[in-house]
Amino acid sequence: MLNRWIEEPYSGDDPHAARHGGAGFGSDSAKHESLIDVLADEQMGCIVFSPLAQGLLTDKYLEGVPAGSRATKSPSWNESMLTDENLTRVRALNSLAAKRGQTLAQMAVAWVLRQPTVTSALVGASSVAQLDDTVGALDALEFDDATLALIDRYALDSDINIWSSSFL
Amino acid sequence: MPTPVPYVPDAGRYDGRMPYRKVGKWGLRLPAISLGLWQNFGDDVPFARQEAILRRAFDLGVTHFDLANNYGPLAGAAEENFGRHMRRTFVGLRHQLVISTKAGYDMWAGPYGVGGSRKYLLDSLDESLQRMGLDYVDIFYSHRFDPETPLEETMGALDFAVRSGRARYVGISSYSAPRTREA
Repeated sequence: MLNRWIEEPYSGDDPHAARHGGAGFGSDSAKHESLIDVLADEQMGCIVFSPLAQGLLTDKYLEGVPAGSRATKSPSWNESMLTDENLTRVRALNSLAAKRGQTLAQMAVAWVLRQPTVTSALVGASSVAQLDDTVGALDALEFDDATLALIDRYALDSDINIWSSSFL
Repeated sequence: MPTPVPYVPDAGRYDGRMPYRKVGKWGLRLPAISLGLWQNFGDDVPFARQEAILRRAFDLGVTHFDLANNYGPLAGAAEENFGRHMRRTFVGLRHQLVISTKAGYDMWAGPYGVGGSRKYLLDSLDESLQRMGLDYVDIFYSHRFDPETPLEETMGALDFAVRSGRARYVGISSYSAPRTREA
């Protein structure tokens, strides 16, 4: 929800095509497609990784950073993830989830799965209880349009894609 | 290594509790929720906790476990641990699992331990199979696009992984939209 790059039109340069004599793309329009559109068009599946934004989209960080959480120990955790702006979004999303009778993690997984092109949401688990909570997303996969619109107000790409340097 | 505790999977795991969705137009179906072993399956987490999570996942209908060569810590540890779990927990259940791994990020020293070359991808896949004690993986991914390697070489290596029996399917990870189209 805070990482929406698969839905955004590709805007990068194309150093690869230049290096290989311009070969590569069938048409210029391909440059501006989103990844999710390409996957749908090619009838490819999609396994979405990090749907919970490394745990940011859980109730874990709402009241500060708890001991033993990924924010305290993982080199992959980026300081910029816990900005006031992000936490405000997370709290708003958490309220929307509560109205659906879900935890934030459950709503985040359900939200990823709303796209038919998405085959599977890839989640981690540090305990059986955490896994049980996440899989509880399956109890409410449907969204009404009003809720989706509300989610869109807060589910903005938050520049927390730690893999962006690999995204070529 | 603790003494193996016998595992009898929940007989109701395919009762509809977990939807299985088609991978695009292809015949393979994956659970709506898959378990990734990037975190929590290295040597820093007690083996018994890993085991409990994997068993619970399978009982919930999670048939897909996703790994990569470098998952740990240390790099390779998640695959090694998963191999032990296969021998303790998933005996006789290999054909009910979709196991994936990847290569692309730094794995070993020198020029052949990173990127998208045929050399690195296939050597890494062989090592992954060895660590997990498997004859094949279900999905083998190029973990990221390598601008230093022609896409044909990377795709050719993935194709060979399937043709040689090392993988059932292949995929790409973190490729951009135009690169995905090209691939």
